[in-house]
Amino acid sequence: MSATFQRWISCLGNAWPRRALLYVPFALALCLPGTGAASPRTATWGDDSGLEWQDEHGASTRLSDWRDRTVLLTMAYSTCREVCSYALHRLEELQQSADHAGTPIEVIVISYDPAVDSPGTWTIYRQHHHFLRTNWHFLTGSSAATRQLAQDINFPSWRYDEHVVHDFRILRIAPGGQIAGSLDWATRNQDFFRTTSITCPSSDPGECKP
Amino acid sequence: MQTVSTRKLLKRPLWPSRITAWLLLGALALQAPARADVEGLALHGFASVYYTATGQQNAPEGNTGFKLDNLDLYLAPSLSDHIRALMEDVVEFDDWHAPGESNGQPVIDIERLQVGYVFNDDVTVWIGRFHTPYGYWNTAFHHGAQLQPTVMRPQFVAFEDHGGILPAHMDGLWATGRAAHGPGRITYDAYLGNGQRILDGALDMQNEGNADAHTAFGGRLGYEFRGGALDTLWIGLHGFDEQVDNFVSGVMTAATNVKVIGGFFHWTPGNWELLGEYYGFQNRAHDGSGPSHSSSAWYAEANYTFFGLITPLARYESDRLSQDDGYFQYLQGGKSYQRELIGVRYDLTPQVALKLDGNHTDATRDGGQAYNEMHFQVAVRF
Repeated sequence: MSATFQRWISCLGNAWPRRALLYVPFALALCLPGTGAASPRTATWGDDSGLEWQDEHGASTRLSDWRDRTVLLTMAYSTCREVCSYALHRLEELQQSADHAGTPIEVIVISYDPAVDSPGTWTIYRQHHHFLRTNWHFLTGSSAATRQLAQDINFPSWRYDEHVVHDFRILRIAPGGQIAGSLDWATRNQDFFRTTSITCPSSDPGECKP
Repeated sequence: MQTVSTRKLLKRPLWPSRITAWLLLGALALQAPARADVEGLALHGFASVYYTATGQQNAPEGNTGFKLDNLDLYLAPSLSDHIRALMEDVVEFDDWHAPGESNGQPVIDIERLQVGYVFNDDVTVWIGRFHTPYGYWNTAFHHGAQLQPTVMRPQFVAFEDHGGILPAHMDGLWATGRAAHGPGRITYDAYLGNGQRILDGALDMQNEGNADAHTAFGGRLGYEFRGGALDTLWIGLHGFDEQVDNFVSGVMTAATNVKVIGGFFHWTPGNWELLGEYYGFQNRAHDGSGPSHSSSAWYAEANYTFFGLITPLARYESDRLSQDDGYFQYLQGGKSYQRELIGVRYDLTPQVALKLDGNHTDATRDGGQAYNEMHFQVAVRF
C-alpha cells in the first residue's frame, strides 16, 4: 500500500456510509498535495538543492560545500541601505560572538538582486564596507536560483521598481544543513553563540545552574 | 409556501450535488500541480501620516496639525516572461481649504498604470502613465514615503498637485534600459507623451487624450560607475521639451514652450548617500513674442546611516523662477524659494520608519513668506 494511499485512508477514516460519500471529494481535496497553501521546504543542503552560485571571486559553488560547517546566512543586495545594512551589522556582531565562544562559522550573504549584483560588485562592496574576513562569502545566482532558494528558506520579498523590499532575517544552519535557528525582527537581539555561565551558589556542585 | 419549497429542495436527489462536488474536486486536482508553481498577485504598498508645525500662513498646504499623507496600493503582476504591468493607486487628501469648506477629502489617483514589454535586460518599453524619468528622486522613491529619507520631497520636485513645477507623470511611451560599458553601465530613458496643460495652478498630464495636440518628449542619459573610487556613483543628464498651455475657466491664457536641460547624481559610498539634481529652464511664449526666460532649480542632500537604523540628513533646495515666464506665472509652486533642511530618520522596524525634520524656507524673493516648519512622520510599508 503506497504512502499516499495510506494517507488518504487515514484522512477518510471510517466515513464510508452512503451519504458520507458526498464529503469524500472534500476530504480528498484536503489530502491532495498542492491544494493547500504552499509551505517552504525544509532547508537542507546536506543533500544539495542543486542550485549553483558564484562567490565574490567568480568561482562556482554550492551551499552543500559548507555542509560540515556552522553557517550564518542572510539575503541582501548591494544597493540596499537600511535593512541590509542592519542585517550585516548583526552578522558582524554574531561573528564576534562566535569568535568569543570559539565556534568557527561561515557567513553567507546571497544576493536578492542578481541583475545588479555580480561577483565584482560584491568584491567592491566587501572592500568598501570592510567585510574582509575569508569566512564571509557573498554569493550571486541566477534569477531562478535566487527565487527558488528564497522560497525554500522563507526569505519573502517584493519589488518596488529598483527596490527589493524585504525583511530582516538571519538563519543559523547547523552542520548537516538543517536550520538550527533564525533571527527575525522580533528576535533580532538574540545571540546564537552566547555562552551560558554556570552559577554555583554554594560549594555543592549539585546546586550549579546554567 | 417557503417551507414547502425548502422541503422539496431538500428531497431532491443528491447526485447532481455529488457530480458538482466531484467535478470541483477534479478541477482542484488538475489545478493542484500547476497552482503550486503560480505566485498569486500580492498586494503591497505604503501609508504615511504626519504632524506639521509651520509658520506659513494661508497657503494651500500651510496649516499646523495632523495630516493624512496617503495610502499607496501597488500591484506589479508579471504577465509573462516578457510582459509586465505596474499599477499604483494612491488615496490621498485634498489640500487645506478655508474655514467652512471641505478640508482634506480623500481622492483616488491612479498614479501609475503602465504595461511593458521586456525585450532583454537592456531594453524595456512601457506604455501608459509612468513617472517621468528625470533626475533621481522621481524614479527612485515614487510614492513610497517609507523609502525616501525625508518626510517631503524637495519642494520643486513635489508631485504636480502638491506644488511641483515639473511634470512628474507622463502619459505616453517610455523606453528604458541599461547596457554594460567599461567597468560600469550606461543607463538611458527616452519618452514621449501627451503635452501637459496647467489647470487650477497645477500641471495636468491629460489622462484621457492629448486634447491640446502637443507632444512632450524628453530623456535621461547616465552612467553608473562600478569599482574604483567612484563605485556606485550614478551621474547623468536629463532634459525635456513641450508646449504647456494654461487654462482659466476653460479659456487659454498662455502657451509656453518649456525647454529643460539639467543633470543629476546619486552616490552611496559606504554608509553615505549623496544626491542632487539641477534643472535649467529656457522657456518662451509659444507665439515667439518676447524673449526667452531663464530659470533654474536645484537641490543637494547628504545623509549617513548608522547601523542600518538611524539616518541623520541635511538638504539645501533653491530655485530662481522668472515671474515673466508664462509657465511659472500660473503654477501654484512657481515662486522662487530657498530652503535649508535638517532631519533624522529612524527605522523602528524594517516596515516602519519614523522621520523628523525641520526647515527654514525663504520665499520672499517673489513676494512669498519666510517661515520655519517641522514635520514628524510615521511611514509604513506592507
